Amino acid sequence: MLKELQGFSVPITFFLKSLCVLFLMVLVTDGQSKTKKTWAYDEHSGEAEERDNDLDQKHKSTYEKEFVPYMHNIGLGIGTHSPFLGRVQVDDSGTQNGLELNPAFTLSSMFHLSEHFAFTPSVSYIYSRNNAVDLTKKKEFNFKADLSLILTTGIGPFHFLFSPGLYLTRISGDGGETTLKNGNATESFYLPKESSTAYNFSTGIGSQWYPFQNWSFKSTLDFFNYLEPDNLRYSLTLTLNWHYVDPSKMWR
Amino acid sequence: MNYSWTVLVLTVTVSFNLWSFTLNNNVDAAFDSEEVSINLSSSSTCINTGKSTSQILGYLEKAIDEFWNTVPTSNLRLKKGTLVSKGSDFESDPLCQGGINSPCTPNGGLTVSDGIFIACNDNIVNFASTSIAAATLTNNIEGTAIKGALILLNDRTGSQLASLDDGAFISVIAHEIGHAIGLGHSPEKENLMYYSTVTKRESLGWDDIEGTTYLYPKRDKLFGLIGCAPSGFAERDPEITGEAVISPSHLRVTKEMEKNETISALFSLLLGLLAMPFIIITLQKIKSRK
Repeated sequence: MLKELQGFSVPITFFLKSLCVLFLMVLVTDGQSKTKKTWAYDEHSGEAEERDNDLDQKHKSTYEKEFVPYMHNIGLGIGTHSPFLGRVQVDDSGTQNGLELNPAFTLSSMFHLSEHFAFTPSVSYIYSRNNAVDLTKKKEFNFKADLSLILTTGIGPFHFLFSPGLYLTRISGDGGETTLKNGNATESFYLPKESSTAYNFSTGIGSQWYPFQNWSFKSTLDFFNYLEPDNLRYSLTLTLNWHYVDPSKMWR
Repeated sequence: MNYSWTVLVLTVTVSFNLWSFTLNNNVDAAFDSEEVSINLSSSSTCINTGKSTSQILGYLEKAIDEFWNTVPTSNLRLKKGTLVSKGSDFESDPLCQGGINSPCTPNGGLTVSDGIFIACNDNIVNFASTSIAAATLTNNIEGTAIKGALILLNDRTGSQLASLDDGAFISVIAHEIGHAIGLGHSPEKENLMYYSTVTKRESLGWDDIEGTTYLYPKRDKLFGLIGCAPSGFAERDPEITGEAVISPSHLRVTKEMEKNETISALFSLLLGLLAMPFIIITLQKIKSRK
């Protein structure tokens, strides 16, 4: 099914580009609109109310102040990363890869930029598959700069994510030789003796659901080669996150 | 509730697959150019392979596009070349002096000066059996740079190449290209670099992808654009010296890239620049609140 998505690479690429532009436009618009408004806090009830400066000058509260971006939380996550879905052969009959189980560990922090938007930089370490006898090693790091559109739902806050990022893939080995079949005989082949790092920019979409204040589920679909429709690749990351939230800045 | 979710995630993330790629030389050699052309001998009749040279060129294009040019983490881009005449020695002579045994001393008469060259060959030393589909040697290595590699297709009478369907023939050529770019065999069947043909070959396996990434790591051009890339960024550490030992490899029968990369880099740079003010503003606001 994922491989069939490949046929829709052009519209997907177009969608991603449009989404990026839309996100940025809405974010800028949202930023502009907030300059015309203030947040008025009722000291008795503790409720906040959004007011328009131009229409509500007479009712300005003593405690009124502008919305100020702030760090909402610091998160720690654990999950699994499935790279290049549907595009890697996993057996000799042509089966392609699906969900893979590579442990992913994430550190993130969320900044509220406005009422409806947040910026969430994060770094993840992906512990990739190792050879049974540790002949070569692969490590992956990714750095993300998520922009979140925050929706309030009855089952908790829901973030819709636009997720540009950078993937670092490091492969290394200790050298040596191994004997493998070669034609009708055997032959010595060589193991890598250096380390090598690849850098890939990605863009992605995702969602993050906070069923509880300190816990969230996050899923991100990252696209590689997103400007090469014939060569588009998808990677899926699923994480369960625990968040430290400063009680004085608790998000309602 | 939280507890059960945590247990689920921890359970599914402790499984591992196996992987390991190998190289066909002891100096981790790779082409020093990101774009490598693959030409086919125009003088080869390829009569016993059951395919014409124009058919083989068509297979070559698919082998490139469906396999090696699909690795997202690699900068390597192979390019289908043309029919090139290099003399009849390529159709009849052995790959290695004094036999095919490893370590191979390349036959100087078959040195490929630039890129990858494919020829049909009927030498019995190269192909002791009709079940050997092809043989490849990176026969021109300078330091850790592959300058040229030769792929020979078994053109002996009775060659089992002739019995392969189009898909299998493409995978044979793709496998040999893997050797030509520096990879050795993989121990697992799901990989293109497995020593033998398999039931069905749809795409590269993990070993193939990791091997190509190791030899030709992707270098996103954004770093070059913003000028923060140190010299040699993302390249392998060139510590290896000495003369290369090369294993000859056999397989048994059983776009507009630069333009897109530049656009991609500019797009990423734009995103970064747009995000930067928000980060700065946020940090300033946080600081001012304190």
